[in-house]
Amino acid sequence: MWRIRIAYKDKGMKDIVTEKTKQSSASLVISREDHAEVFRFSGILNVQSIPPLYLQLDSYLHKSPPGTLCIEAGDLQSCDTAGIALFEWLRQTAHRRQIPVEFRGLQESWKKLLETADQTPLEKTVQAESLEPLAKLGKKTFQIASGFREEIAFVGHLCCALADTLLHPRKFRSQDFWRTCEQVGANGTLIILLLGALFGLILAFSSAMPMKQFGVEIYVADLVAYATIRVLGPFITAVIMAGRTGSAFAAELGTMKINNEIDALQVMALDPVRFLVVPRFAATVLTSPLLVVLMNLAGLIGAGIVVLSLGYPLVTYWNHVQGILDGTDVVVGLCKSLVFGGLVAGIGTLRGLQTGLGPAAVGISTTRAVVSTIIALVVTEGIFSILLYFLEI
Amino acid sequence: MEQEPVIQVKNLTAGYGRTAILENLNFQVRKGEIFVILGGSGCGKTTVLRHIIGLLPPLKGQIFIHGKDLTSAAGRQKEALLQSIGVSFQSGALFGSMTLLENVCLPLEEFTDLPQTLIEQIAAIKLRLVGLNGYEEHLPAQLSGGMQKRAAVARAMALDPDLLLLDEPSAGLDPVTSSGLDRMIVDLSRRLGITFVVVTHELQSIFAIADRAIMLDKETRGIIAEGAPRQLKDQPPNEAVWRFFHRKAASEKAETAKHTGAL
Repeated sequence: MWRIRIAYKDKGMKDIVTEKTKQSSASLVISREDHAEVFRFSGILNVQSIPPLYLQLDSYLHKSPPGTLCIEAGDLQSCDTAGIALFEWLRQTAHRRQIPVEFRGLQESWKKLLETADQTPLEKTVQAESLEPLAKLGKKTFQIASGFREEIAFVGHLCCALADTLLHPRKFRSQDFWRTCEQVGANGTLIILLLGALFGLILAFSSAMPMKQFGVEIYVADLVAYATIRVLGPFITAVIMAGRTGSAFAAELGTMKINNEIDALQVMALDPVRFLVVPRFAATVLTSPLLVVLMNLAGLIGAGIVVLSLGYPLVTYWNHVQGILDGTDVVVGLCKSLVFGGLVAGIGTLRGLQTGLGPAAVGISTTRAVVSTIIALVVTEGIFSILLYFLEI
Repeated sequence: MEQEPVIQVKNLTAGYGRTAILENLNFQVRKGEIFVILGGSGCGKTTVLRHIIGLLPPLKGQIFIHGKDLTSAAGRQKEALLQSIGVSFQSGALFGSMTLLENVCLPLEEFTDLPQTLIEQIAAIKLRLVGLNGYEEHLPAQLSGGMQKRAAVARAMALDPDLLLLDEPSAGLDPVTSSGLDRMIVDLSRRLGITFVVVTHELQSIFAIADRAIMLDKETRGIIAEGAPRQLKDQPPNEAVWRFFHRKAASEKAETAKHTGAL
């Protein structure tokens, strides 16, 4: 345990002592000589002995700032970098209050370290980073505009790469395509089926309750079928894909970016978009409708179970489903799934390619991929709804 | 009276799990010297270093740091021993999400009660000592390999250890950067009295920094030479040492035989 003793020896003189039983103890005697206040340090100045000294010094300098400060280090047995930092802090504090400082008894090596500390304008570094609010706003606006420009450029680049692949199919990375199909499609089947069935079940139950009041609970079948096939099936599948696939693309490409693998492709004159993005994009776009079909089927089965539990035969349920849906609804849902699949793959890979420096950047890219994809999905779904309403499809 | 060695390795059998790589190692590192562990690739230099810093338990033998047995130390005693050692890994191992200043501040924040003002001041001094002033707010990924290694040394020095262990500090660096790093090691050793243990196989670095060296050999699984590098080069005790210092492969037998005849 530390013990700090402050004893007034006589007028204008005080003694600050820090003690530790074994290795580290430092003491400071403050006395007045002529017009200067002398801070006489002795003992060992190191990371252990400084904290209590610092607290005392800080409060002393605030309460009674000296006219001239003299730091006497001749009695010190040893002084490490923490001690030098304390001296530098004293010098800076005195400098701010325009108090002249003089050092006495410093060993040659301590002098050199103090010179090193003196050349360290830490505060300036911090100040340089702080910006005016208007400048911050400008910087942020510029960042958003640059980001938007990058996104448009990426879309153009991807279209060119897709066209190039169609013109030169031998350049297509089929291995990557099939591997991604397996990751996105086959490996995601179970989760899609499970969530689809649960989703159909929940939707049917929640809509059955209010409908029961009017005795039309059989129309649960119409509601669930219409909502699932046209809107919710493709949308929820895309949200699941954003979490599973988009984030995986961002993390994979982001790691490649920080490991300079993307640079390696560029110096080999290989276009990273054609090489990495096209197979992933194609696989996701083509797999997405298959997953949506599974999601729709599972959703309808889930809702069917609820309708069955309400006492209606399955034939009645199926007749209602067939009655409310036609081929256009199924096509609309599948078209949406193609667009959503493209958004998931495009945004995931773009965020991966935009990864900054260091391992933390991969995490940031992954988060950005998921968030941006979900926002894009909601906006696109809104556009689809308005468009389909006015086109009366 | 002879001064107590900073590190004393006694009958150490080094290795991973149950696999011994080196057997019966005995050496000591004296206060204030730059001690180099050298040898060819895969001879177990880094393994010995990992034993010295307590990352690997010895298969046999003891390691004393400042006279205290690291192998039997546990809990707070081991923590205190490890705090007196600074280590810089081959890759630098800086924390990528932190700025250089934050990297160097970390041990000070964790192990001392110093106020933040002094902690940042100390960290800035350390970065200046390794020639990285002005880079306090940079992330490690924004720096070159040489600068990252310097920053790693600055972090290793944060708590003012009297013993610094560096694993392949000049690996992957160009000769100019590498020689700058060597000068920094010598300068820190002379100015601050720090004892250095450096693992390397770069001949230029060995001659530039080492006061004393041991050479490890994977065939004999032990130390095959000990002494000042110039002495080892001029009076090699065996063929392997001669080959190492003259950059000759074992296949170049004719020339080797001509020279080893004089050994």
